[in-house]
Formats: sequence, structure tokens, C-alpha cells
Amino acid sequence: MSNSRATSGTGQEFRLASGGLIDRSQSIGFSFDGKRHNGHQGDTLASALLANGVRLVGRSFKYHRPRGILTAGSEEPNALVELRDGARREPNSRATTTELHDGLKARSQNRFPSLAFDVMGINDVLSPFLAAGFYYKTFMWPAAFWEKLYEPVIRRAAGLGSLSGKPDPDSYEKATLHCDLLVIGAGPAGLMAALVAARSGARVVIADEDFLPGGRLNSERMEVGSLNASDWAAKISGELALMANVRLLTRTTVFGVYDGGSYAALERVGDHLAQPVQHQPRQRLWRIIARRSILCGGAIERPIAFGDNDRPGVMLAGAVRSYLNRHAVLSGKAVTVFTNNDDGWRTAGDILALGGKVEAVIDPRSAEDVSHLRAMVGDVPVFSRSRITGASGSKGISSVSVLNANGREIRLETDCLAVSGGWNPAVNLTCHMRGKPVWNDRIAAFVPGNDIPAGMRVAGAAAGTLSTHGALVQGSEMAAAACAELGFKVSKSLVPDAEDAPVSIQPLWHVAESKSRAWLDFQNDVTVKDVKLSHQEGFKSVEHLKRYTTLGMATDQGKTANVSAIAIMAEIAGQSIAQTGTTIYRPPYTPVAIAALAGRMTGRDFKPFRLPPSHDWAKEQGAVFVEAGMWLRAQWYPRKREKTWRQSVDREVLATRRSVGVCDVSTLGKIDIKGRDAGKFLDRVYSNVMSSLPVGKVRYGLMLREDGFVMDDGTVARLGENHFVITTTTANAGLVMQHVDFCKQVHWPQLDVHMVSVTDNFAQFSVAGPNSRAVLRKLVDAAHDISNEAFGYMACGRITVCGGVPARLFRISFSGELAYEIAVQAQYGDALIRALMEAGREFDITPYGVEALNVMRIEKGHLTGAELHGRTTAGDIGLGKMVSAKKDCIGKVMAQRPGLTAKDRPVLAGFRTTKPEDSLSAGAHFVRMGKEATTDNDEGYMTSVCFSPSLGQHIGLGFIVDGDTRHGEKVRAVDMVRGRDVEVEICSPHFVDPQGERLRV
Amino acid sequence: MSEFKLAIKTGFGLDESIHENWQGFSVSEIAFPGICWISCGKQGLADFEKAWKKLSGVSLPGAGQFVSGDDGLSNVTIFDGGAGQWFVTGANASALDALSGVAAVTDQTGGWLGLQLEGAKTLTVLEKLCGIDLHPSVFPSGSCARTPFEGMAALIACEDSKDSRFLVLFQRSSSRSFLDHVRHAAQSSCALIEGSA
Amino acid sequence: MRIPCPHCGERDHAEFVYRGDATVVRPDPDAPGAARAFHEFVHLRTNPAGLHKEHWYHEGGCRAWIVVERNTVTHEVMGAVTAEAFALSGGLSGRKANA
Repeated sequence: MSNSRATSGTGQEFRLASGGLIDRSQSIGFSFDGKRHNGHQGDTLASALLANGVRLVGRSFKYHRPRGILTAGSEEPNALVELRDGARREPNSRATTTELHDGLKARSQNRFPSLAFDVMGINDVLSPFLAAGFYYKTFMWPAAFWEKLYEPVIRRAAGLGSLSGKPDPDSYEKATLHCDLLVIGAGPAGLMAALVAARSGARVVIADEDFLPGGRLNSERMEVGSLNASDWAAKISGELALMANVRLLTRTTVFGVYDGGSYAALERVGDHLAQPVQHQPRQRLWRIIARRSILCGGAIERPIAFGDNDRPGVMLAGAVRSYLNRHAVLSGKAVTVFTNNDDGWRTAGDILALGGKVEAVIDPRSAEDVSHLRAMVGDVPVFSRSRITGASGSKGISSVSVLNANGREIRLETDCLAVSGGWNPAVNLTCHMRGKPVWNDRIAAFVPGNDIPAGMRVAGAAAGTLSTHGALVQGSEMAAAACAELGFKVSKSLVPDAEDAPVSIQPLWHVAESKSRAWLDFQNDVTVKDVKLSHQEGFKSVEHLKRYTTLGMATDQGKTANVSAIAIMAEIAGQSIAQTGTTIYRPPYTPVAIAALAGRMTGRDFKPFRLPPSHDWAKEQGAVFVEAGMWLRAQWYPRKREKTWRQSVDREVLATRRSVGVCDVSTLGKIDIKGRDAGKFLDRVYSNVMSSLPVGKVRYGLMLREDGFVMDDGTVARLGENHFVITTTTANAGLVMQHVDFCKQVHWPQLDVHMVSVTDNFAQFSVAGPNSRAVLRKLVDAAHDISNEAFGYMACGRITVCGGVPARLFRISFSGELAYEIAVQAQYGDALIRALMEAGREFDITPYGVEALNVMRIEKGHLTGAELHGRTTAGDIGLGKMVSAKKDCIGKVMAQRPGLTAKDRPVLAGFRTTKPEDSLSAGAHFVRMGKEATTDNDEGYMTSVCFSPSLGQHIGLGFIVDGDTRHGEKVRAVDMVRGRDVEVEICSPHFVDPQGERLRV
Repeated sequence: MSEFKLAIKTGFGLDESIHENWQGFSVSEIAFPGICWISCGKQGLADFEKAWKKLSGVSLPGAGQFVSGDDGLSNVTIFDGGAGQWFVTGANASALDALSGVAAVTDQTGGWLGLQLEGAKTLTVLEKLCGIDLHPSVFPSGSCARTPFEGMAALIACEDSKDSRFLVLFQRSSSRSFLDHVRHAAQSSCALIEGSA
Repeated sequence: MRIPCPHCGERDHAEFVYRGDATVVRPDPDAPGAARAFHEFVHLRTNPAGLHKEHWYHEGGCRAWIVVERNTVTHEVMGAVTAEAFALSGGLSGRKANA
């Protein structure tokens, strides 16, 4: 008696004087709802709360009923708390798996103003109107109230807990592990399996969600071999941790099984620390590739449903033992046990052995069935053929009603009810690949079926082997089988002795004689009555039952409710449990933070950055950058007095056209193509002929998709008889590479052609404007003649610059001015831009970014992805003649489909404002003057717009029906998104130098 | 002759190459005088093998392997890059001109950078960067593989599995993101040694 | 999903780009009925629930186009060969790639 009274720290009324796997040398302070308490290292928040006599920990989701701690594991439905402060605040944390640390701050959820007095408790009074599926029958009328009233109110009331709303300051990490054998769970089966496998030389990963390996061994008073169960667990896990071929991961939940032997696991690296360790992630997501696996995830106890079985103080019998044996905490001063199976009696026995008080044991089985267990409980009253029909004490259980063998109702005073309805093997992971578990009458539970994931075996309680010795044996056997399959020599391991009690159970899912509501899913507040209602309303299948009642849909995924609900539905429907079946189990097994799935892929690190060779120099110039895919490109280079981007861009355009500008175009895709059949190959992938291109010349090319639409455009430069370099748009570089590889390897494998991307290899700059040649002359070594005669428009060649540095020169122009592109190996890129700027200084050389680049190409009528958006043909863009009649190419045949050659297709045209103060919208649609802006009257759309400094007005490119014969006509450009309706004049798409004279000087 | 001179920048845009040390892990930038990609079709393979042997003194590596040259090309290493493809470090396209008749040789010097990773913690760091199995039992010295690091194309080679020394080649344009990831993985695997970068 | 690249070995599917049915062959553009044949080649697929021979591109590795046989219902991957080997083995009802 005295043992139960002794306490080991201030205020820990329910802590035993000795025992438990806790560190009594130090006291840890924590707070719950602002009140301070003490606990010890080794406690969970739940065990520490119970030690301090705190039983009320939350309010249920729908009815706001007072709730207490039900379990001692991750299956906990009630004790969901909010942890931490500020940006690290996290809701819905299970107190039962939260490791206690000094200074831990926790708060209950879903109550206002306090846990003890919650105004939303009114919901419980309104419960007849709030039964399952009530929202399908309410909030219907009037329709106007949906958005204005119902949704906002429901939104505010919905959900458990609240997020901080602040950016997450913690970091997360992802990593990959490869192994021969993955052991999921480090209880008796898992530890034994890992040991056998590791000793055979296999590479083993063993993971357990707990911070202490051992599973139930840490919660039971029993021996394994000659050691206490928890000591044996510590010994074996210690041995495993030292083996080079073993990775022992604690605080790690394997939450999902995926194709091909892939598993996902979440390691809680720093959640148990007051402050995360610098540079350490808070959580780590593991992708584990395992040739074989053994699921040793144990079993989860289930309660029995009876009237008001959700009172704080009603707990699972196995959980009461966990708190007693592992944490040295009595869950009550006068505990009553209600169990339909032998295992529940252990709770009574353990409490008595440690000096606690047991009020009674209530068991629905006959006196003969339980006679062999009486010795365990001494002179504690035993009620056989009895069941509990009700519980009183809303803030904490104070008594229960027992319907005894004679049919009489007896009231028992008690402050804790330990319930056991049996154990459910945790089969979830065996079903992640759509396997179905099967019903086993011997243990009255679902066990893994025959269609479990390839390479997986199951051992221990997860397989339905509920005895400790059975688990040890099966763990050993499964490991031996898996390792033998992989070719490892397994030596016979001695399996230590341990209890081997048979399962003896009489199914009892709910007590029909109960008067009050009997709870099944505690977290979503679903009762036995709701299951009956579901059936009544026609939702009879388990999948419908789940969605209609929301049973099993909360953060605990119904771990303590599903099987009971299925059994009750089977009863109501008059079919077997096996026939009724389960719903589909999906990952994750327990909730996973989205941040953990992202790892480092957040914010600026979401994708890698690709930086062109002039990036550092551009930064020095104060360039403004824009993301173009993964590239960071200079958008414009603002000068001191410039206040708007237009000022910068207009200046860059005018300066380039007037004298000379330079732009980094390294980001465009570049593919090097070699081989005897290179020209032939290019003829097949480009619409026009490339094999006739002379060495030393460049040709513009169109690539079609096989369905006839334009895929990409670019240039082809012939540097040698069997050597070409092609360019692609920046956005399509990867796509074109994939495409040419496909064409070669799949369509024409016999051609001698070799392609490799050289996008990163070269720094390439466009030098454009009347003085471009003069600038280049200062850098190009004298041996190379780049006069107009020697190096005319569309020429290309290998040259050297700056005293022998190899370079390539291309006389091509996107801007429409006299222009070149000069390429050097990327490691010279930074030096080259600086040299160009220095050489061009006397000509006021102006660096220009992608905005000015875009303005100039629009002025010239050159096309980009805005026009080549995947639904335009060569004919649409006015380049129908570029599809050679002389040869086949990708897309040739389907480009001739009537729909793609129809005369009423919108074709490329230019557009200019008629009033100087107007601006244009890309995306505006064209409608004839005087016609209504409807889809029937839609004649085309604008694709690119800009202010043209050269023309002093806004211009655009777009597609319009009969575009080439309507120059001069005025139409409306209607933009319904931005509310603009502007008059435009159709004109040629070539606004500047339409004859191309500047190109050829 | 142009009066301008072009200086070479390191891949990371710094004046000096990277050398960083953590407890049990070090990272060193490796500069190559040249890198090439070689491609050869099935028909020409026999001729290419002969030409390569003549030039380098060694045979072509098997799938997933790399080999360093002999004699005059001892600083040249050839890595298996796929069926009929190889990466060569230590030589640029002109140095391999003798092969141009029997294979497609393309200079890649500007596009790739190298980092040497070494130390007891190297495999722990690589777990966070690379999805393939690098355990010595399946990736011994002399192994190489093309595989992405955090989505970025890379080639990893095991120079010495006892010392856990690896070479990683990766693309210049994303090199800073690449190094950033390596640093983060190193930080969470080991503590930085005082006084180094 | 794990894809067994014939050259590089088993890799995560994220290293690859998926394309689709590998048994369709690019028709002869000069043969009669080419328009219909190309339409079917580009647009029509059998889409079986079960074994499917499909193209994957090892973009993150050796850049080979391979043909993977995968069960579209269970995702079990039976094996893979290079696209070239597939064509040579007559995996396409005897029809060879266009010369």
C-alpha cells in the first residue's frame, strides 16, 4: 500500500517510488495549459501528466466532450496537444508519443475558453441534430447562405488545433538508404529478426517509432531468457547498434510501402529537444530501398464500446500497463479492469504486484473460462458473464455501471477503467499495395492476407502471433528465410525463453444494454448509433460507412476504432466480419509534415539555380534578374537616374540599335551533333533541308512535333562536314535533347550520328548593333577576317580571341541589327564579358537584358515560345514554305491534315495601337469593329506585346484570321481579364527594317 | 594580336578553388585541364577500342567502371558514361585528336566541374545527396555512375573505397546550388572544423 | 518505382522520363494510307490493364531510351532492354525501324 503513495518529485501523486525506465536523478519541469508540473527523462508528456494526476487533456472534435488519455502509443485519438511557441508551434501532437524535455510547453486544443469550461460543449446537448451525416442534410437552404454564412462559420469551427501562420524556421532533410533487409519495428520479433539477419552478414536497417527500442518488452512485467524484458531489449539493441552492417533508427516511423521494394520513413531528429541542434534538421525523410523486409509493427489494442466509454480515465488495459511498468505511474488509485480476453487480466496482476489497488475485474466470459486467471488477482472481486453498461464522471470517471451475470445493475466506484477488447495486428503496411487483410477467428482480428507487398514478410503480433515467445521465434524464422533467399548463410540462433500464453478471447464489440451513446472513433466523435444510422441510410459497405460517418478519417486513421466498427456493421448487416472486410489502408501510417516531404526543396532552394557565365559581372552592374526556368537571367541593367524598368529597357533598345549592345545568350540550348549521317539526321528532324548547308554557314530551322505543330525553332551551324551545332530555345533545351535522342535511338538507330548537350560548355554573347563588328575586331585575333566579305550574314566559324583563346563566331541576329554571337568555353565567360565591355567602351556599348532582347525581337518580328506555343503550325507563323516538299521530316505527314492547313486558321500578323496613349495586352482577343466580343466573333489573339522605343508606340504580334491580307484594317483587341478594349491596326509583323538591310552590312 | 587577355574563373566564381573540412569529411575542388565526351556506335567499337589502347596504353573500362591511362596519358581517366559513351578527364578534344576518325569526340571542358570528397563520413554525407547504393560491397574502388544529385546531373566515381574517397563531376551552371547542397549535407553529418572555409 | 536500366542497373524512376507505348512504330510516310497510319501512331493506344511495353528515357543517367515491361495494374516491372535491342529483337511484330 505504501508503495503507491510514495512520490518521487514534487506533486507527482501517481508516481511510484521506484521502478520504470525513467531517470529519477533529475526532475524535468514542463507546463500544460499554463500549469507547471514535473516529470523525468524517459517520460512521455502523457505519462508525466498522469503522474501528476492530470486526466483531462482535451475536448473532442464535434461534441466537445471532455477527454482523457486513452492509449500509450501513436494510435492515440484523444490526447492531442499543441506544442511549442511562436513559429515552431505545432498542433495535433500526440501526448503519448511526445518525449518530455525540460521546459516543454503544451496546450490542450479545441476548447474555449478553457479545458474545464468549454462553451462549445453545447454541441453535446445538440447531439441529436449533429449525428453522422448531418451536414448532408443541413446547410442546404438558402443557397445564398453557402458562401456568406455556412462556409465561414463551418471553417472556423472545423479542424483540430491551429497553425502558427509563420514560416517554419526549422530545416528538413531527405536521404536514401539501401539494405538487404528492412526490419520495421524493434519489439521482440523485430530485434530477433535484425539480430539473426545481421549475424549472417546482411546489411540491415531496423527502425522503430519509439525513442526506446523494445516495443511491448518495455511495458510488460516479464522475462526474456533470464533477463527482464526491457533489459533484454536494451542488450540486443545495444549489440545491434555496434554492428557495422546494421543501421538502428529510433524515433523513426516507416510510414509507407511503395513499388519496387521502396519504403518511406520519417525520423524525428530534433522534435524531442528544447531547441533544435544547429545545422541539424528537425526531421529527416528516409527513402529506404530494401531487397527484403519484415514487418514487426506489433498489434494495437482495441476498446469495448459501452455507454459513455469516452470518459477521461477510461484507458486501454495495455496502456495502463505501459504507464505502470515503463513509467512507474499508476493511472488510478482504484482501477477497474474490463476485458473479454486473458491479456487484460495482466493489468490487474501488474497493479497488484506493485502495490496498487484493483476494484474489480469484469469479464463477459463464463466463470469456467476465467477460472485459470483468478489466481493472478488474489481476492479482487471478479464479475464473470458481466459487462459494463455505463460510466459516470464527465471530467474524470468516478464510477461504472456493471450488468452482472444475474442481470442486475451494480455501481462500482473507480477512478480508472482499464479496457481490453482484444488486440488488432497492425496490418496497415501489408495493405499499402492494395493487399487485403483476412479475418482470423482464433484471435478475433484481421491478420495479413496473402497479397502482401513483394519481398515482405510479417512476424510477431503484426502477423497475429501475440505471445512473446511466438514473436521471438517468428522474427528469427522470417529473418532466416529472407537472408537465405538473398544468399546469406544463417546460423541457428537460440531463441530465448519467454511467455507463450495462448490467445483466449470472446468477441465483444459493444454492450447493447448501454443507455448512453457508445463511442467508437473518439477523435471524430463517431458512435455505435452512427454506424446503425449509416446502415439505415443505405451506406452499408465499409468504404461508405467510413465516408458517411467519418469514422477512421481523423489523424489517428481509426486505429482504435476501425475493426470494432466493421464488426458492428457486420452484425447489423447480418454478414460475417470476413465478408464485410476493411477499407483500403494508405500511407502515411502516422501523419507526416509536408515540410519533411519537401526536405530542402523550399523557398529559394526549391529548385537548383543555373547561372549563366556573366552572372557575377551582371550582379556587379546591379542587374535585375528574372527566373527563366532554372536559369537566372539579367532582365535589365538599371542606371542611377532610372526610376522605372521602362526607362532602362527603352534605353537599352535604343542604345543597341544606335551603336552596340551585348547580351548573355548562354542559356539557349546548344547540342553538338557529329557523324557521317549528321546532315541526313538533321533533315529528318528539321522541317527544312540542313544537309545542303555549306560548312561555315548557319541556317534557321523549325522543328515540328510528330502531330504537325511547331515544337521549337533555332539555328543550325555547320562547323565541319560531319559536325553541326544546333541551338534551341532556353525553355525547350531539355525537350529537344530528349527528342533528338529518341529519334536517333528509336526511329533511326542505324544512322551514324552522335549528339551531346553543350549548353553549359559555352559562354555565348550576342553583340548587336552598327558598331558590333568594330567591337569584335578588337578582340578577335588578327588572323581571322571578320569583314562583311569574308564573314557575311549567317556565316560561322572557329576563331581565336584575345591571343589564342579558342572561340566560335556566328553572324546571326535576333535583334535585327548587324549582330554576332561569340562563344568561348564557359570558364572564360566572365573574362569575355568584361573584355567586350572594355573593348566597346569607345562605342558606349550597352549591356541589355531579356526585356530589351524581347522588345527588339518583337520589333523585328522574330518568334519565341509565345508564338510557338504548341498549337501553331509552320503555316500559321508564315513559314509554310520552310516545310520542305523534298523530304520527310518529323511532323510532315500530320502537318498536312485538313484542320492544320485550313484557310480560316488565324495567321501571324503585327498589331499597333491607333492612339499613342494606348497600351496592349498579350492574351487579348481580336474582334471586328462593331461586333460583340463573344467566342463566335473571336478571330484570333495577341501573343507578344511591348512598347517600341524605335516606333514610339505600343506594338504586338499575334494571330488573326486572314492576317496577311488585312493589313491596315482596324480591329478591337479585347482583354476581358484586365478589362481592356483597345483599337489596333493590323500590319506586317516586321516593324523595324523589314527588308533586312541592317543585317547584311 | 588583341590587347585583351582572358583569365579563367573557377567554376564557383571564386579566385581560389574550394577546400573545406568537416570532422570526418573534406571537399576539394579538382580542376581538369580538359574534359571530353566520346561516343561510338556499335560498328566502330572495335576500331575505337584499338585506337584508345594505342593512345592511352589501357583498355576501355567495363560498364560502370573507370580506368586511368598509362605512360603519357597517366593523368587521363576514362569513365564509362553509357552504352557506347565515355567521359574522359585530363584531356581536351585536341589531345584526343587521334580518335576523331573512329569516334565522335566533343570537348566538354567548360561544362563540368569536379569535387573530391573524402573521409569517414563521406558515405553518410552522400546518403543525403545521391540515391544510388555507394556501399563498398556494390560500389568498390574503380566504380562510377551517372546519377542526379538533388536533381542535377552528375557523375560519381569511387577512387578509393577504403578511404571513402570519391570524385563527383557536375555541371558548371548549377555548381553553386550543387556546392550548397554538399555543404548542407556535410553540416548535418559532421561539425565544421574551425578555421577552414 | 524502380526501373532497371540495362546499362546502369536499377534506379529510382525519378531519374527517367516516361513516354508511353513502345510497340508503336513510326509508319512509312510514303506508303499509301500514311495519313491514317500517322494519326494512329500519334494518337491511338491500346492502354492495357496489365503488361505494357513502354519507353522510358534515362535522362538522369546514361540517356538511353529503353523499353520497360511493366504491369500497369500492379506496377511490377518485369525487365527492360534498350530501344535498339527491342527493335532488333522484333519486339514490334517484325516491323523494323525505318532505314
